[in-house]
Amino acid sequence: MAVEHQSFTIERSIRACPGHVFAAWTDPALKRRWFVDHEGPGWETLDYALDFRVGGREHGRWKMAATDVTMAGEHANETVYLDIVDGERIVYAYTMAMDGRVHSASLMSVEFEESGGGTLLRLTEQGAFFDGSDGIERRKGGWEWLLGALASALAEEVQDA
Amino acid sequence: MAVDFGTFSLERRFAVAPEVLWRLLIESEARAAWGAPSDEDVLIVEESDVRPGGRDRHRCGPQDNPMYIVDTVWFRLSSPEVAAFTESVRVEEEYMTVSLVAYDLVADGDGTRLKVDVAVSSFVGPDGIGDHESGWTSALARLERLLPELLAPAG
Repeated sequence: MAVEHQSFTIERSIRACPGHVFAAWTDPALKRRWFVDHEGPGWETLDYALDFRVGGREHGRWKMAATDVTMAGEHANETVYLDIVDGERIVYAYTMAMDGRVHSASLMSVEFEESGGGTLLRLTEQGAFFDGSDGIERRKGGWEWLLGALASALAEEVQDA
Repeated sequence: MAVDFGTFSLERRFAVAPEVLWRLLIESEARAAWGAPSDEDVLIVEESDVRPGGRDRHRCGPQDNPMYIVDTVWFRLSSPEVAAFTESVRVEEEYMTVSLVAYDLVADGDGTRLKVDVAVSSFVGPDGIGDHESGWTSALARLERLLPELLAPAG
C-alpha cells in the first residue's frame, strides 16, 4: 500500500475583518453553514459537532448522491485541533473517510492576516493520501470551493445584520 | 510570526519482517528506547493509546530536564503496512512544531523497507524543520543499532 505525500497552499482575500473571518472557523453554527451544509440534489448532512479548543475535536458526516460515481457515498471528516492563536492561526489535523474507510490524513494550517481593510486567508494542507483517496488536485479544488462558500456565508451574515 | 512549512522523507531497510518492525515502531516500550531525537536525550512515554483516534503523550529532552512535551494523535493504523499520526511539540504551553508523520512498510526479501514521510509546520522558524529531520535521522539510526537488544527475549 503506497502513501502519497503532497502539499498545497491557497491564498484568498476576503472582504471581512480578520476577527469575523476567524469566527467563521470557531463558531459552530457559522462553520457548519459553509463547511458541511450545502445545497444541491443528493446532499444530506447527517451530523456535525465542533469543540474549538486545543485538543478539541470536530466531526462532520454527510451523504453525496448526485455527483460522479467515485465521490457518491457517505463522507466523514474527523478533526483534532492542535494549536490555536486567537485571530492569527489555527493548526489542526484531519482525516477524510468515505463509506467508513479513512483515505487521507492531513495537517492543516490556516493563517489570518489583515490586508487592505479585509483579510488575507492562507491555508496550507500537508497531506498523506492513501489508496482510494480523492488526491491532491481534487482536495485543493474542494478547498477553493469551500473558501468561496465561507466568503458567501460571511457576506450573508453582514446582509442579515 | 508566520508558519514555516517543510517536508522530508527518510528510507531505511531493516533486517526484520514487517510484522516485527511494525511492533517496534508502535509499542511504547520500544519507542522509549529508540525514539529520542539524539543519543543524549531521553524519551519518556507518559500515556499511550495506540488506535485510530487514540492519543499518546511523551516527554523528551536532556535526561535532567525532558522539557519537550510531545502529543501524538493516531489517525490510521493498517498493520503492518501504514501508520499515520501527528506530533505536536511544545514547551509548557508554547507550541513549537506540529507534524504529520506516515510510516510505509514494504517487505523486501527477509527484511523490510521503511519510508518515513514527515510534513512539518514550524512556529519557531525554519530551524524547527531541520531539527525534526535530524531528530528522525538520529532516531532511526538508534532503532537500527538497538534491533538485537529490542528483539532479545525478556529476562
